[in-house]
Amino acid sequence: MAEITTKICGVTFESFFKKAVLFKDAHCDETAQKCLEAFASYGLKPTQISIRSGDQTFNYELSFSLFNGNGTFRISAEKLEVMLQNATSDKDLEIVQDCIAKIYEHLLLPEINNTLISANAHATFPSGEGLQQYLLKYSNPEKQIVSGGVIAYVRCQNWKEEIRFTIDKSLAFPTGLFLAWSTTYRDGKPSREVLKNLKEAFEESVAKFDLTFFKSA
Amino acid sequence: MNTATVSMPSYGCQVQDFAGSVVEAAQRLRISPFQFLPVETESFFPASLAPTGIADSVNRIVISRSAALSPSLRQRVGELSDLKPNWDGEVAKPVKAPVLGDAVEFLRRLTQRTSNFREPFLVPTFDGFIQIEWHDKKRALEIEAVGEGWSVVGALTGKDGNRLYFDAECERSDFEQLGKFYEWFAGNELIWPSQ
Repeated sequence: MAEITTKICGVTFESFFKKAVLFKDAHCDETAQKCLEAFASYGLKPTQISIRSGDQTFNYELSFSLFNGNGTFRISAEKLEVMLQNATSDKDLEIVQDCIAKIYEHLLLPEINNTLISANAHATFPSGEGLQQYLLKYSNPEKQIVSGGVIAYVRCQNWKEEIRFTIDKSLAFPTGLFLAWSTTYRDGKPSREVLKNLKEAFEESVAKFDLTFFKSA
Repeated sequence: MNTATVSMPSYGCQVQDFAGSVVEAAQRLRISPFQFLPVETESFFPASLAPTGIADSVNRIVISRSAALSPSLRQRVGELSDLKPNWDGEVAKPVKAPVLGDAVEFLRRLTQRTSNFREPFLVPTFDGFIQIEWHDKKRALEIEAVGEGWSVVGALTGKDGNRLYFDAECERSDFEQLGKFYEWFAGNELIWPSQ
């Protein structure tokens, strides 16, 4: 099992509503108030929340961002979209998890049909040799295949849906891999427990390809 | 995304193909078979542009928001945010930044809405959470952060010396409900405010 260290990662949650919500039914002012309550501890200020009322029918959006733009939250007539990027440590990941949990705990969201979840990470080996060693099995000098990667659909414990998982060379970190996951959640709002299971499933999918994440003390 | 291929409309003028140049730049930074650089110096990001941690900025926010608390509580918050792994000499984890942030937010709100605010003890738990405690002769209140939110225990000492215990749970940012538990401890609510 080769050990890799996450250098930078991000995640996106897109929850699609069962029915598009009219502006008049979206209660954007109450939602803005709830967002402020939930994210005040992360430095969200009232003037950072913006509501674009559009044509006052379906073309509207409530949005705000946190952490110098590394976290963005958008609610439109059709979906809630949460994107958090540039997490660089386990502590950052705890905050990412907390932000996602909070938005689902606090907002009065319409019924959710499904949530598309995608995540990616650049993770490095201790040395360039480690990377080359790992990628060796995907190369074939006879056919001039110099490098390769993985596209796999995996199933994991505690996660119902298939996870699409890819492994590629990282363009950002020369001794690193670029890992990407995407999956779906269909049971309404994801809870803290669901998020914990998801993190474990992502780690399990990595282990299926003989990789393990370095755990700091 | 790892790579991107974009085609841009030209609108009648020359458009530079940024996608190609970005990929080329990244390829130049890739390691070649015969040349290894120290791991930490190899990165697509120059040091000045490397992303700073979200946790660092959250810590700064928490410390600045604790300015609304008393000097002693503020100091305690600073101490808790500085705890290192194994702070108990064994396996204790540092206090999680989101948990400390919510504790500070709850106490801030409590100081604003309560005229008779009494300072709690703030205690770290070994698993990176926090417990907020108030104790007096008749009542005690312990609010402990747990994975799913807050776990609350109240104790009431009767005239005969017997203690009655109450418990409840609430979501992490349900400060309204946490405030009700404090009102119970302060004696402003006679009945345990379970939801």
